[in-house]
Amino acid sequence: MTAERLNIISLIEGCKKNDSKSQHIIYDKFYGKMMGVALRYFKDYDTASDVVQESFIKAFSKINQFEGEENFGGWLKRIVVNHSLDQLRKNKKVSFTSEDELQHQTYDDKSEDLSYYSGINMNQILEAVHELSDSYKTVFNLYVLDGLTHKEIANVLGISEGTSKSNYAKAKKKLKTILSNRFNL
Amino acid sequence: MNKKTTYDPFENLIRDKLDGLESDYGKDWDKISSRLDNTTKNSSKNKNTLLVIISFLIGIGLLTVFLLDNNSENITPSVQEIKKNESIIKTKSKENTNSNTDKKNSGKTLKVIEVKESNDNLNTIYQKFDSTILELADTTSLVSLIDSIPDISSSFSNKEDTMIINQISILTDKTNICYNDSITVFSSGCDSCFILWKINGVEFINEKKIKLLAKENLSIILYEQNRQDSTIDIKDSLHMTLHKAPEIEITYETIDDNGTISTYLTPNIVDEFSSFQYSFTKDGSFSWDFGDGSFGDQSHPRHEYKTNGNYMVYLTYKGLFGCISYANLEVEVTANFDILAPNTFTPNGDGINDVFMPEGVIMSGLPFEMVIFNKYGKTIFSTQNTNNGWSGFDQNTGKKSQPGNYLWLVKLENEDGTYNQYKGSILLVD
Repeated sequence: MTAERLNIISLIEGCKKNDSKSQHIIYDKFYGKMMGVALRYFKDYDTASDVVQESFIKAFSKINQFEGEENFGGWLKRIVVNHSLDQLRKNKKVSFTSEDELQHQTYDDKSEDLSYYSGINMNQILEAVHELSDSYKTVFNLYVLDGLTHKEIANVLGISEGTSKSNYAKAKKKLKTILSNRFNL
Repeated sequence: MNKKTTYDPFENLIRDKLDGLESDYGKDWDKISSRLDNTTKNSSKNKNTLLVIISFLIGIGLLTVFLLDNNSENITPSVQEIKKNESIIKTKSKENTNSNTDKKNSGKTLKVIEVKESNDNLNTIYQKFDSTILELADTTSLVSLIDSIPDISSSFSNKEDTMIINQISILTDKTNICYNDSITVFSSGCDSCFILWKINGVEFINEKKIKLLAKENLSIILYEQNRQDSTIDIKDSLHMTLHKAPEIEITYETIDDNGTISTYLTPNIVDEFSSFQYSFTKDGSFSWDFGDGSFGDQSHPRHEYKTNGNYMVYLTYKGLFGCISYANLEVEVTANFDILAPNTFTPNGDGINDVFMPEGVIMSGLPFEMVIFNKYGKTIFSTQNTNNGWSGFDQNTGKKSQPGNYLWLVKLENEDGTYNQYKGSILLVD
């Protein structure tokens, strides 16, 4: 067991005992990463920061549900993702196109050469992601970055699996278009 | 949230890029700690008093430790050292996450070994990098190149909206790198920040621009060091895949097809760059210099040299990502060209077939000398002008020659100064 992990486990134990110092250290340690998660859902830094703050409060209040064997960062991230989705629903910005529009496009991904994209940096990609509509962005984030399956996404968002798939395919296509237009690839 | 494995390279790329996304915007512990106190106070009044006692005891314990340890200065550097090591291990372990999750339950000893290994790997990378990868060009060209680069960093940050301002990120002057290319990486976003680069494991401290010579894939990580507590955070990372046009060589074959000499040129890949399958002719463009003043762009050209000689053929091949390779080859043409001499002519002044002048001599456009002999071997006519062919007259006497067979000899001067001789007989018919 690495020192780092040992450290986190003892800090979590502290949090479970409502030790403010432990909470503070955990907060400091994970805030930046969690902002990184929220920023993929919200372009606005203030909104993202609010979501992360709320997520920490929720996390600390439910820390007793956290099992020691789990990855704490992953657990925390899931709370941030859930909060982000709640926030998006509140804004009522997200409307998902139905699966009828799913066109069976065949992407020739294998022959596609991605090294064209490799020079683009993180912030540029983030910007491109934010050019997607909220519904595309949400499905794309959940699927690619937060590792949910289409079935899980359908569950979480209350849409059909087909809609999730079609939104994802379109989001991906759009993102590629945005990136290649922006960088004249 | 099940782990799923996707093999979509685009997804992986986006994931890799956004994985490092972090921001401390809006970080405010006081704002939430007050709210946390409200939620927790009710349930744990007893616990709080217990905490006070515990922290009091800990405080006393710490005090005694400090008092006993006279060399309290030693504590600070050792803490920093640990932090440094952590950051190295962190970046390395990122790549190993997949293998680590499989071995979750395999115990303590294994993990310790892994960390050691990754340190060893790093060391070898360091050495390798020192010796081969980073070859800075001579200082004069370095300075001129850096000066000539427009300052992207300022124009970049102006264009972006507020969300970028607090972010330090990596910029490059090239997105695709070819073998031996020189590239410059910049940091943008914060001029006063203390930054640290790690390029293929080698650290550069507080450089705004770094010029590199591409010899391998480049893995660039940009860190910022917090001035107050000297912790190091990853701010951006960039992986650049090195591309290389395949090394090629040319082979040739000369074929005499009824006096038309064709040279067939074939390019071959000698050393295929291992990172991807190369569709040689589909993915690249060819530019040939045949060495006789003519050029071509086919992948497998056929070229007709007009005269004998040695020609240096140059090929420039531009492959994927604009990476270029060159090849050259000396082609030797020693064939007997057909000079298209007729075997009969009728110098009777009727305007048809009155003059003997081989067509091939006219076509070559080369300097020549043609001599006509009678059956006794005596020179009766010579010319160096294609407009002045043999019309049957004996130059010595000015008289028309008798019908019959005559011998001709043509000496054609090649471009390289050598001669080719052709000879044959011509029947003069009245």
